Parts: sequence; C-alpha cells; structure tokens
Amino acid sequence: MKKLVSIVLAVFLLAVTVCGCAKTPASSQQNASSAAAGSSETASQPETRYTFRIAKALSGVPDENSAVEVYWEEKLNCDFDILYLETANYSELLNLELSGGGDIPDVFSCGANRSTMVGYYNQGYLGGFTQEFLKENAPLIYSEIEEKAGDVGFAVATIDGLMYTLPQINVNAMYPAPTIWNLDWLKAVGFEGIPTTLDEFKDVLYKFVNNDPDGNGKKDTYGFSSEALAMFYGAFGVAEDVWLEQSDGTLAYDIMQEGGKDALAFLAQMYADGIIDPEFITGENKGGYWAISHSFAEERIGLTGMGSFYHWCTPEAVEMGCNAIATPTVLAETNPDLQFGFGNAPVGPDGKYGTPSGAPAYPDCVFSKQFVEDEARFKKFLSICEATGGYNNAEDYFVSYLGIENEHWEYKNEIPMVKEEFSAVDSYCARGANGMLAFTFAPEAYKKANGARYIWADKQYGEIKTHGYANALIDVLPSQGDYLDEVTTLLDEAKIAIITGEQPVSYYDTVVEQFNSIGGDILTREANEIYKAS
Amino acid sequence: MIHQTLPGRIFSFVNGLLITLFCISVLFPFVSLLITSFSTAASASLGGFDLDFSKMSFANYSTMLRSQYIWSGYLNTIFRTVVGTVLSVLLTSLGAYCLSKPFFPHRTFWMGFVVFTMFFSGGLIPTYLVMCEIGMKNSIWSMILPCLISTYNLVIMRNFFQQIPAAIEESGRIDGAGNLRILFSLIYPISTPVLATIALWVAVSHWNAWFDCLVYIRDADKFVLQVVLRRIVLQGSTQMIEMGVTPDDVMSNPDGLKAAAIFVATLPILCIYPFAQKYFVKGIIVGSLKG
Amino acid sequence: MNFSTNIKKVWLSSGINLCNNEFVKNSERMIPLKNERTAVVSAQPKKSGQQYRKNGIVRFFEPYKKNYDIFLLFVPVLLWYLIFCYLPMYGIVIAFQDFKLADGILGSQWIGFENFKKLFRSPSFLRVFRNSVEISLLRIIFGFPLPILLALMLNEVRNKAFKKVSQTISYLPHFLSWVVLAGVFTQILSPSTGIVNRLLNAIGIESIYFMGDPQWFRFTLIATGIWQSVGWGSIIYIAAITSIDSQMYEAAVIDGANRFQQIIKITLPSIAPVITIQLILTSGSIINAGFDQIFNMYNDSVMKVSDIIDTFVYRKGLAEMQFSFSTAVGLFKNVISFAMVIITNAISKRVNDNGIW
Repeated sequence: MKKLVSIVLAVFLLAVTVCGCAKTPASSQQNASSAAAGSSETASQPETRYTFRIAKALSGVPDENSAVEVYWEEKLNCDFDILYLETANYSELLNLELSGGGDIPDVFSCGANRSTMVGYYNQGYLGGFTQEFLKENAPLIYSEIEEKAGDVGFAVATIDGLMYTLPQINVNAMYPAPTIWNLDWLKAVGFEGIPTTLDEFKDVLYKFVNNDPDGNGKKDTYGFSSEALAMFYGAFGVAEDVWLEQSDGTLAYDIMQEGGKDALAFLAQMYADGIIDPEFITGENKGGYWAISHSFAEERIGLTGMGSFYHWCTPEAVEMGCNAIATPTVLAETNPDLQFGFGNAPVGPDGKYGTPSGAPAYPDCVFSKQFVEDEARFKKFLSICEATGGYNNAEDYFVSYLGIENEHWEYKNEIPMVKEEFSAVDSYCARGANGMLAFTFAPEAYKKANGARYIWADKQYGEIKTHGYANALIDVLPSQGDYLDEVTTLLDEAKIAIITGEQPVSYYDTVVEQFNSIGGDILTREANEIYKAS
Repeated sequence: MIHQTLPGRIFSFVNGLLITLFCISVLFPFVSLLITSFSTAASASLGGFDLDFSKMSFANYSTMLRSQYIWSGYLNTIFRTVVGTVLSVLLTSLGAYCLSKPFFPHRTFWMGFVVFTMFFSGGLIPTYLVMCEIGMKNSIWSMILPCLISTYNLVIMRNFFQQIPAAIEESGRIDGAGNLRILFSLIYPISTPVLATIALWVAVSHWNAWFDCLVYIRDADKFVLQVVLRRIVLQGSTQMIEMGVTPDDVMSNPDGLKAAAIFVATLPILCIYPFAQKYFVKGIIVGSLKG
Repeated sequence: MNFSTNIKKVWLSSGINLCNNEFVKNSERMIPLKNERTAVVSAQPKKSGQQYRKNGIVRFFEPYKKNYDIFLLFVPVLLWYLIFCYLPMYGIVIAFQDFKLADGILGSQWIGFENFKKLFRSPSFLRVFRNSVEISLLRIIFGFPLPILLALMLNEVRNKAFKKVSQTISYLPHFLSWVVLAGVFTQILSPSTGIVNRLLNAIGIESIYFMGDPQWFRFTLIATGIWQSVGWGSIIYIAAITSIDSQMYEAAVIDGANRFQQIIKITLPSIAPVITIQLILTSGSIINAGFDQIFNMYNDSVMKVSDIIDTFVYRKGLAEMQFSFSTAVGLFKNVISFAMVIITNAISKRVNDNGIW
C-alpha cells in the first residue's frame, strides 16, 4: 500500500507536466495552403485562401473576430492569424516567439529600427526580395517610395542588395521640428512679422530679455532655452546627434561638423549676454507629457522648438478639429490669452538653415524567410499590403486605422471622425483598428485619416521656409555600442561647458582631439566607409 | 506600569510622533491614489487633491469593472494562487522531508543538487524553449509548475523538520506507518507554523507574479491580474514611444483610470493582509534569513 | 534565558547554511563515487567488510536499495529539479558560442572565452557593473540602519494597540508587487500632477522630476526601496529585542538609567549579533541591485544611472538578440554572487565564532 502511494506520488509531477502537452496543430492549415500554392495552379481554379500569421505590436487586446479583421478577411479572401504581443515588451516577446518556441510568424515588426532589422537578418530570420520584385508585385508601394523618399527609401530597407522590409514613408518627417514664437512678445518689442535671419533673431531675442516683453516690470525673461538650440546649430549647418554630409562629401558627427565651432561661439555669446535661460541644462519640460514646454507656457522664454508640429496646435487648428496636446493644453489652463505661432528657422551667415527632422523613410514590417520563399503566398500578401494601407484608395486605410465607416467613425466636414464611444485606446485595439492590419500605409491616406491635423500642417508649413536635417547615415555603426555613449557624453558636456562659458570657445579644439582619442575617429571612419559603399 | 518622568514622557511623545509620521508616509501614497481614482479625467490631470465629495466619480471604477480582462485576470490569479500554493507546499514539504532524514541515500549530494539551482540557471531563452517543448506555452500551468519549489523555502522547511524530535516519528514507525503517512499524519500537524508561513509566502508571490505570465502566455483571456494591470499602467508610457510607435499613435490612459486599476488589483491583499500578518511575522522568525 | 544563544539557534537551524557548506564539498566531485561520507550519514547498520569490497557500482546503489521507499518519495522533487532547473542549464554553453537562434546550439560556432573578453572591454558592461555595486552599496548604507532604528522606536512604544497598528502598517508595502508600486510612485511623483511635487511647490520648491532626472533617480530608487522594505526588515530586530531579558532593564532602571541610556547600553549590545549577521548577509547579495524594482521603474532617460546587470542581461539578451553575450554576463554574475556567498560565509565564521552555518 505505502509503496503504491509512493509510486503514485512519483508519477504525479509527470502527469501534471504531460497534461498540458497536447500540441496544437496550429500550422497545419497554413502548411496545407502553402503546399497547394506550390503545385501548379490553373487559372480556372478558385483563388487559394491563404492564412497569414501576424505578430504586430499592439497596445491593447484585439477581439477574437475583430470588426476590421473580419472586414479585410472577407474583402481580400484570406485569413489573419493574429498573435497579440503587447507594445511595451514587443521586441522581447517577439524574440521569444522567434527563438523557436512556436510557429515563426510570417510578418513581424522591427519597431522602426534598422539595427533591429539587421539583427533579425544576422540571426537568419528574414526573407529578402529585389526592388524589381517589389515593383512588379506592389507597384503602388514602389512608386510611392520612389517619389517621396527616393534612394534613401530603398536604402533603409536594403541589406546586401536585397530588400527586407516595406519601407514606410515617414509622414511627420515632411514637417521638420517647429520654430515657435510668442507672438505677444514679438508685438511687444515692436517686430513686424516673423524674424528670418540670424541677425533678426538676435535683435528680437535681446529685446525679449531687455525690453520686459511680458510687461511685469521685472527682468525675468529669457530669449530661449534648450529646445531652440537646434535651430541655431542649424543656422551654421550643424545638427546634433546625427551624421551630416560635409562640403568635401564626407560625413561628420554632431559639433564635429564644419560649423560646429562657430555655432558654439555664437551660443556662448548669447549665454554670456543672458539670452539663454540658464536652466537650459535641465530643459524646458518640467515633467508630465514630454513635449510640454513649461518654460514657454510660463512666459519665461519667447522662442522654442519643442516637439513636433502637432504638439503646437494653434487656435486655428483646434477650430479645424485638431486635438490640442502638449503646451497648448497647458496654456489653455494657465495662460489662455497667449498667442503663439510658427516661424522660420534662422538663416545663418552662409545661408544655411533648418531644424532636425526624422529620416524620410524607416523600416517597419519584416517577413520570415519561409514566408518570402513561399512566393505565391507572399505575392498575395503584398497586394494585401497595398489594400489595407490605402494605396489603392485612401478610404481603405480609414478602415485599417479607424474602423468601419458609420459604425465606428463617420464623416464630419469630409473629415473622418471617430465616434466618442469608440475613441479609447482599448476600443481601437479591440476592433482591430489603429493599423493592426496595415503593414505599410500610403502617406496621403494617413494624412487624411488623421483629419484636420495635416490639412492644417500643410498650410502652416506651406507658408514658412523649412528645411530638415535628417541623419545621412542610415546604418548602425559596428563600433557604435563600444564608443557612442562615451562620445555623446563628451560632446554633451563640452557643449554645455562652452555655451555656459565654463570653458572658452578655443576649448573646442581640445574637444576635437578628445573626440578622436575616445573612439570618435573609429566611428567617423566606419560611418564614411558605410556611406561611400551605399 | 512604571510612572514616567517628564523627559520620559517627552521621549515617548516624540517617539510616537515620529512613528505616526512614518505610518502616514506609508499610507499617504495610497490615500492620494485613492482620491485620484475617484476623480474625473480632467481634475486628475490638474492634480486634484481636494476631497470634494460632490465631484467624486465612480466612472473609473465602472470602466475598470466593465473590462472583461480584469475579471478573467482575477480568476486566473486566484486559480494560480490557490492551486499553485497547495501544490507547492505539498511538493516542497515532500522534498524537505526526504532531505531531512539522515538515512536518505547520498543526502549530502542531493542537497547540493538542490542548492546548486539557487545560484545557476539556464537563462530565460533555454528555459522558455524547454517549457515550450513540454507543452507549457500558453497554458496556465506554465505559471504554476516552474515555481512549484523554491529551494529557499525547501531548505527552511527541511531545517524545521530536522528539529522535530525523532521520538515522534518512531512511534509511527513502530505502528508500521510508511514515510508518506508519517509526513501527513505526524509531521504536518506539528509543523503548522512553517507550513502556514511558506504557504503565505508562496501565495503572495503568486499573487504578485507577472513575469512568467508575460513570457509564456499569449492569449489575453489567460492573463493574470498583474499583467492586465501592467498593461493599463504602462499604456502610453515613454517605453512605447521608444518602440518607434509614432507619438501620435500613443494614447495614454488617464491617471484616474490607472489609479482605479491599481486599487482593484491590490484590494484583496489590503483586505487579507492584516489578518494574515501574524503568520508572516512568525514565519520570518522561523525562516529568519529572508530579509 | 540568554538572548544571543536563542537567536543563534534560530540562525543555526535555518536554511542556506548547511546546504551551502555541503554544496561546496560536493562541487569538488559532483558524482560522489567514493561515498563513504554519505554512507556514514546513513542510519543503517554497517555492512560487513566483504560486502564493502564488492564492486563499486553495487556499493554505490546500496543505500538506494536499502531506503528505496524514501527515495521514491523524493522522485517527484528530483524530476521537478531536472525538468525545470537542470534541463535548461544546457543554455549556459551559449556563453562560449557565437550563438545564432536559427542555427541552434549544435550548429552555432564555438568561440571559447571571446564573449568574456568582450565583456571586460565593453564600457557598457563596466557601467552596469558599477551601477549594480553602487546602487547596492547605497541601499546598504541608507537602507540597513533604518529597520534597526524603527525596531528600537517601536520597542519604546508603551501603548500596545498603537504599536500593533503601526507595525501592521509598516509591513504593508512589502506585500505589494513592484508593478503596483511603480504605478503608485509614477503617479505621486509626477512633476506636474503628483502630490509630492505639489507639496514641494507649495513650500516654494520647484518640481523635481524624480523618475526622469538622472540626478534624482537613484535617490528615488533608494528611497522607495527603503519605504517598501523598512517595516519588514524591522521584524527580525523586534523579535530579537523581545527576547532580551527584562531583568536587565529593571536593573538599569534601579541604577537610574533613562530610556535613551537603556537603548544604548542594553538593547543595542544585545541585538548586536543579529545586526552583524544581517549586515554580512546583506553584503553577500551586493551584486543583486533589485531587478523587479528597477525593471518596473526605470526608463531611457535614467538608463545611465540605473541600468544594472540583470536589466542589462534582459535587454541585451532578449530585446537586442545578443544571446551569447548576455548569457556570458549572466554567468559572470552568477559566479560572482556564488563567490560572495562563500566569502561572507567565511567572514561570518570568523566574526561569530561558529559563523552562520
């Protein structure tokens, strides 16, 4: 008896272990369909219904048969098998999936990050295709990339001659970082219109400090703070944290770029004259949403370049139906009378100007090797991408992005508006909207789906002269992990030291030496090698 | 009661005051959060910390309680806590009992075998692959089986068993009872302090666990409460912006909703805790190492 | 009667101690072919010399045959350890490979100690190593004395109900997960809407970005860590204090000692052994800076000051697919923490005559 009990107990754990063991034959259907695709199809046969296994980053749980999924499955005659991986831990969970614990998804995302894509490529997961293949099977996507992003668009997707992703046009990169003025202050110091040249900027900013623009009788105002530094670097042809092509065709990093020393000298002078808020070191944001400029909202400074254009919805934009986020919401509560407006980035002595902007295109959805090799299925998927991404017709994308017309959203003034009860994040995710089934999207469709925002932005940016400094280097440098942190720290500290006058401008030359001695030379060499090769 | 001198009374007063302040500092975050959870989205964003009962709103709680995943999360958490704790105490006591017997074959070696795992493990990916291989992926058992034994608890229990006088067992053996019977009918009844303590430790760690669920479970209706909560709290945080999601696609949950979610998930612990507390205290003296 | 022996008994009886010692002995020969030691432990009567000289294998299995019933009882536990602990340990070998998931362990290239060489050259690893040790040290310096102080203060409370309630409150945070606590702190420490900053603003201090400012983040980590653990940590000291002989206090009162003097002259010296042991134990885990807390609280802007070995391993290994490198880092950490336990064991043996095991 007691022996029996012991044996039963010994087996107990095994039993519990085995009870979950029934492996689900999840991929059988998929395999069957791919087998069918492999055999020669005749035109008369009905189109094979394929299943696609999708692993996208989702910020909420999609319903089992979400409205958008059902819509597209019916319309496109295919099935989607959606793997829910939450956004906050997407890359980790995806890598677990890829590690072989289950079926490898056909389509997954590299999180807009080329180095992640290269990582997947190095691990041997990705399937590649040629530009011609894309042109043949997804002509609309191809022409969109060619037109809006050109060579860079293809370059971000390409590793060793093959494309591994559908490059996504970066809509927001069409609108470089804004230049925002306190219009009341401009008026108070008697400037007509909006400053354009560096000299005009200088003139106005000095008056911001000395002429008591807020009229409170105290000298408690500054010209600008951390977020406007970029536009002044830009006036000297310099952009922080990125590689730019120099006059001799080589790449240079951050203040190692040609105008670096002049830009620092200019800023150091501004700081010495009390134009730059001494608090620029800690930034304009005092917490909460990252793109709020508290310094601007509290009328401590009169010029900023905080965030992106959509963080600065003017009253006009709000009237058109844009949601005010970031600083304007703070202003609405604390300082509703303040008028602010978009301006130009200052034009420097050599005619250079601009503010930072994102890359014109970025990698996004990638495909497993097996999937791309399964050519018929992959071709079908490319046509699906064109459909759900609104390349055929912008309204298709409204479905992917917002949901079903009249059920989840409706037109108001020709702008698609989501109904109040469907506007929560979880609701978007539950109905499969928010781009769950859009693997790339047409920029124009995206702009329309976002309603008034881009209509207004096009108007704003149409009136002003803008130029964006985007990183000329699209790849991650081999030694980046080893040196970039230290290099960045050195440059950040040096910039602050020179601007605040802790070090003279001549210290710049020492910084150049130090930059090269701690690995900057290696990074520069690598950057130029890669740049020349591409 | 000894009559207190004046300095003594001052001492007592200051001491009491300091302790009160400390207790307030412990409770303060919860009270502040409780108030936030009853506020509307608008007043929470203004940092409303005024106890204005007229403005109190249950909207956050009703949103919370309408969410199906909170309920399934509750059920899953309760399941894993109850089943996990029972199985865990059973198996741990089994191991502890065996290893407490001097006649256990090669006891020193097997003790080393067990303790070795406290310091070295295979890492996440190999563990994950093994779990998938034995069919644990997406199964609620993946949150119970791998944490059935905590070596630390096993060792504490073993030490407790070792202290039990051999005479108690001997009577059983003379009656012809097997090891299992001795364990259940002789050892268990006199080991309640250590069993209760370890059961409570295991239960609390089950209630609070989230990482295993995050890693092994893909179906949202199998998520435990902490994972559901984590998603609500994290939604729209900076991490997601770093993911490359364009900022305008990131929508954050209002603070009030997050606060309500935290309360919904924490309430059971807050309720049970004062009653279970004395076992923990007993346990820490039994275990005396866990700090 | 004597408190310190009491406590020591508790220590001696407890955990880890015995086993570690045994483990060390065993690690030298994981397969105990010469098992005289264990055979001696066995309570069975000795076999005759002839039987002993039978071949080694039979001799090896002798105890199992003799006590098969108890070993059968152990089999489920054994299986559990094999499946859930030992089976995944094959993964350690990828620290010595250039591991590619697609190639698997068998197909990946062996590169010896290359990953470890890389590790010591990598500035980012040196940074996380430094962070781990620094954060742990800060935790010890600020977090270690406070539970003692709290225990002393609670001990001085004469009102039983008040004492009980405040004890109960003080343990509370220990039972909440860091998922919850991180959520709580993110809200109350928010620079714009958080109550803490609003209070600071009220007394004329500018908002502090506790969770996002690298200069403040470590403070936030340590402070919230202490907040969470101080009450729980005080239990052991309270237990030690309660077992002090009350006659000593009575004698001190007759000698005219006030309460402060009693604390200094009686209470503290009496609990000194416990404090020593706790301190040694804490230093043993110096390389564990608290994954759960940091993982739930950190963000990119404070990565520099808060990235510790465990979060680094998690990120490199999972998010960045540097499987081999992260395994090497993890293995390195395991070896160090193992060594730390051995060292602290040795130290405590010297400090407290018997040591803690």
